[in-house]
Amino acid sequence: MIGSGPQASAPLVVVPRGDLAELHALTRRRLRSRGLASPRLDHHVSRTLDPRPRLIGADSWRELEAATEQRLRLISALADDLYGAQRTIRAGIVAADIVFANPGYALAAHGWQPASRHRVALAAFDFRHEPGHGWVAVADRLTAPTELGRTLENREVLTQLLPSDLQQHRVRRLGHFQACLRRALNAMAPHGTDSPRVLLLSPGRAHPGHGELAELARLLGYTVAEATDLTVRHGQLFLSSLAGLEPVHVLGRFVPDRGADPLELPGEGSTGIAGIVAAARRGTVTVANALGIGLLESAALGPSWPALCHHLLGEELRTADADRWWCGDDGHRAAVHERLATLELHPLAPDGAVIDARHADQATLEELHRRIDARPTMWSARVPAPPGTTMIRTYAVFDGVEVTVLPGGFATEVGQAGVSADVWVPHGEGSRFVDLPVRLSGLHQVDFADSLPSQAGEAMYLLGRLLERAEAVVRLCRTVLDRAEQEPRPDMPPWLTDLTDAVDRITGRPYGGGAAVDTVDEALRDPIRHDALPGTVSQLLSCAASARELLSMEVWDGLSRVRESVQQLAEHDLRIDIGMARYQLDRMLGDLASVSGVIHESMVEGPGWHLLDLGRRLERAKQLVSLLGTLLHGGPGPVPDETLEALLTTGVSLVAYRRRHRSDLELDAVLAILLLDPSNPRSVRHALGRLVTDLAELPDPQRGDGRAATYGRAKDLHDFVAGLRADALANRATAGGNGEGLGRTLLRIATGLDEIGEALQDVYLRHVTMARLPRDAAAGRLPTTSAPAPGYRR
Amino acid sequence: MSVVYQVRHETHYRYDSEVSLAHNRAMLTPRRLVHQHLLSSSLSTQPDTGYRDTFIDVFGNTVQSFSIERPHRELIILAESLVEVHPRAGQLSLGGIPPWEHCAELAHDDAGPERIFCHDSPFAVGTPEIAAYAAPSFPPGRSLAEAVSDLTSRIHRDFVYQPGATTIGTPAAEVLHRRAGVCQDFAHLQLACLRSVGLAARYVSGYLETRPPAGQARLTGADASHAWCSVRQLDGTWLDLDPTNDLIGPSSHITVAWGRDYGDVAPIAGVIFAGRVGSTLKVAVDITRVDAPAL
Repeated sequence: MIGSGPQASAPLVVVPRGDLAELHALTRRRLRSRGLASPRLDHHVSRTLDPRPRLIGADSWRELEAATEQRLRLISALADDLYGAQRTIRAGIVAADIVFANPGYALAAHGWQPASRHRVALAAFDFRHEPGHGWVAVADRLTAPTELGRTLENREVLTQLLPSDLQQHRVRRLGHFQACLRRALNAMAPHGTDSPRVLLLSPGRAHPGHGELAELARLLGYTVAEATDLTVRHGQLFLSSLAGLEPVHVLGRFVPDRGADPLELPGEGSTGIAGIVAAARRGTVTVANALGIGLLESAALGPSWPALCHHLLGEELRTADADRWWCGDDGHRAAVHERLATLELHPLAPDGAVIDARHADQATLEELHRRIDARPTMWSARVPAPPGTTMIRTYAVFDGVEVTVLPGGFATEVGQAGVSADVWVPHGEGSRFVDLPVRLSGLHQVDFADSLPSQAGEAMYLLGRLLERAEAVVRLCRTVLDRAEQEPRPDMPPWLTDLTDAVDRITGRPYGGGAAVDTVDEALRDPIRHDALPGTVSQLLSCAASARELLSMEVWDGLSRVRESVQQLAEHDLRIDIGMARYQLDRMLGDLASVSGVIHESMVEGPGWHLLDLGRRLERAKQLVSLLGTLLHGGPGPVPDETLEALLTTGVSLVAYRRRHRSDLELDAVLAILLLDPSNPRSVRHALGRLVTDLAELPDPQRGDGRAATYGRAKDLHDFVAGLRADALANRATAGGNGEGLGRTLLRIATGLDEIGEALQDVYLRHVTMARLPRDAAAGRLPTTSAPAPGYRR
Repeated sequence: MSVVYQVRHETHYRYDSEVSLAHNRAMLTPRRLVHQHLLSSSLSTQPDTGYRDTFIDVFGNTVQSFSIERPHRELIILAESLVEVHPRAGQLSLGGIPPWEHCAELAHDDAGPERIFCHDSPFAVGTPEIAAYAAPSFPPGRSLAEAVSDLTSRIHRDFVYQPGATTIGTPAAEVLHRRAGVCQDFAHLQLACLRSVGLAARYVSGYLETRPPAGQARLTGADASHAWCSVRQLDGTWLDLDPTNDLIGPSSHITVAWGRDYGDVAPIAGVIFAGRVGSTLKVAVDITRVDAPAL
């Protein structure tokens, strides 16, 4: 359909580009640097953006916009009826079985009104265009209107890439819609709430949809949380944040009904927020879209929409639904049997898998015929769109009075998984809606700076640790590579063995001995070992993805370059191309430094920042103490210069040393600068000082005196280190094993650091565990009483 | 003559570790019905509830939702009520006389909320085997009362009452296979049977007096909560069927709540938050006749 200029009636025109290859590459790069393409190291193929936008004709858009608007009003009215008086069922417009046989009909949601009075705030609709039929409705997405974050993201990317095209086509902007969405969500708060707190509920930080949702949260300025961050107390919903419990008034959920509440909307196992249904019923919180809304997504409703629209709105339905049959109707069932091999079967259950009968063999088809006849009410069917059909997802927000449609959309092509295109709507006579500025007035300004969901807090802390660990691995490996090259002797000297031992130690490899280059090669390229560089960077990226809404975009720029370096390293054998490896290591250090710089210069120093800094300082001190322990293990005789130099290089303190001391390398001076110097940001003492400051800045989580105790531990350790004397330590080290040697001092510091780490986990991140471990469920369901009956005879 | 019963239902949970927060819901308040007057009812917990809310669910049952919001290691929930039960002049109404097919047709054409009782529910999912088991009780033209009475007796005859043979989650099909279970299993099985021929049937949770009326044999068994089912007749009234005891339209059952199956009316359900989430449960139910009705 690549065509000439946009025509008013044209459904979708691909905006042609001459420089396509280059544009593709640029787009990929942009997306990657935003961390959206895929946070994982091992995912090369992921979601991409077709850099050619789809321009929609003004007339065609007018149809689509009106259809979207009408559909939202229709669904909202039907939801109110089905969860209320059920007049549409009594009047025979909706077949009773579509509701009553439907596992998606949430009994717990029936008979009460949400505090907002209306049940749908944000909805997404899938349409396809059919020659001769115009726009055809394909699916309604209400429990989780996904990809809005991606749609807005796509536009941001294209705004950077094609600014003049946007101008030339007079493309409508999306900012107005975001403001409307914020206003609508705020307005859903229970009556009398002064400053409503809106939260987006994610299916979980590990869920593939989380990133996109975090992107939406970032753009809207909301906090994104998962069920374990939330708790119901006293009939009210709270966010369990680092600062304590904070009331939540509107929950924009992107999770299904089933499993939303282990008590009243249970799923498999113990998922969800216990008591959320009771809180919503009581009216202290609004869940948007309302609980039970999944029923309205049912494909079985398809054939009923025209009559429903007439009945509920007194209007003609603006778009037909794709041809659909509900087998609970005998005529429809016959029609489905007739053409089964051309259809797609939808079970009535909202979480049931769609079955594509087109690819079924004869036996499967017969089985499907049987299953339909056994339970006809449970099946509906439709003709799937042929491959190559363009689907467009539109979005609309409803504040209870007015519907606002996003002037744009998310275009995909059937059969092209993961590729999307931005939909451009030109300004024109056709638009019914004028983008007036929306003001969020009448709200008290509240500073949410201290508000940080516990799970996000954990992610920040781990991010800090992993950033530091990645840097430590890279620095140490670079030191070893430099030293190994300069060392002509065939047999490895003891100091080099010590260095390779240190590499093995930090990357968790059993001491393997082996040539220095082999060790480094494994440390940098082993894809299996958890603590080798690829594993560390992979964890780093997934932590960053978890904390996405707290990080600025520039962080992703740096992290994506780090990922590229790791991928480059993976493709080159170090032993063959050592220059390449050193180049990548240097590059990585620069990129990691740029990430740190962004974190320090562009992030608000709230609790998230302090947790990140804590993680980073703790890890830095631990790595340095561990390195000192491995390299200065107290053998007799003076410490070789090579060891001291390696220590200083790895500890980024060689330049400082040379400037300060004009003499040769001396152990006591090296210890002074690495261990004890309060002004050297790489020293243990400096790290401990920062630990103490960070702990003092964290909000009191009101968990007894755990905070005071943690702070006390850090302070004690800091004072202990501050009281050490370098010359005494050096003497002990060279004397070897007299009294409390250097080794013991280092051990004491290492133990102290571990204790602080544990205390930190206990006090601030108590209910969470390391992401890699299977999570120990914190919510358990009580066994419910069985009802043994009396053995009673008539 | 009416009888007044005092019901005392105590649920006692002991937890393996300290529980910081518990959310519970209880369905322990007897329903108000034409033949059953609720004179008083109360629910108390130890430790005291931090928050409590009472609401009426979609089936008209009373639900108490409450939370315990301070650390505790055990929880006692005590529900007490005083219920006056009038003898029912035969639940077997005129609605039971027409052939069962008419009731099934009516159920099929119903667009009211009771239509939901015709469908599978999580604990009572129909299977071809269950339909085959039910079929002999429903020959064409048989009256509804006769048909369901036959089915009730057959379940009573064919199945062994055996505590421990099943768990809460045992599906009806599995009960049919094992030929053993407790009252709720028989109720679920009978629900699935009745629904397999298109009848509307619901699950009833309640109590049963164990003291015998004068002149009849003592009913054995400890007091406990009880479960049975109920079928919709042509005139829209419901007929109670107790397959555990082979009773049709029993007169001394105390009705607490009804729903599609056990899942809708579990007497107590809860969620706890703790380090370790193990727990043990003890339930004690006492039904006593109050000789001088409180008027």
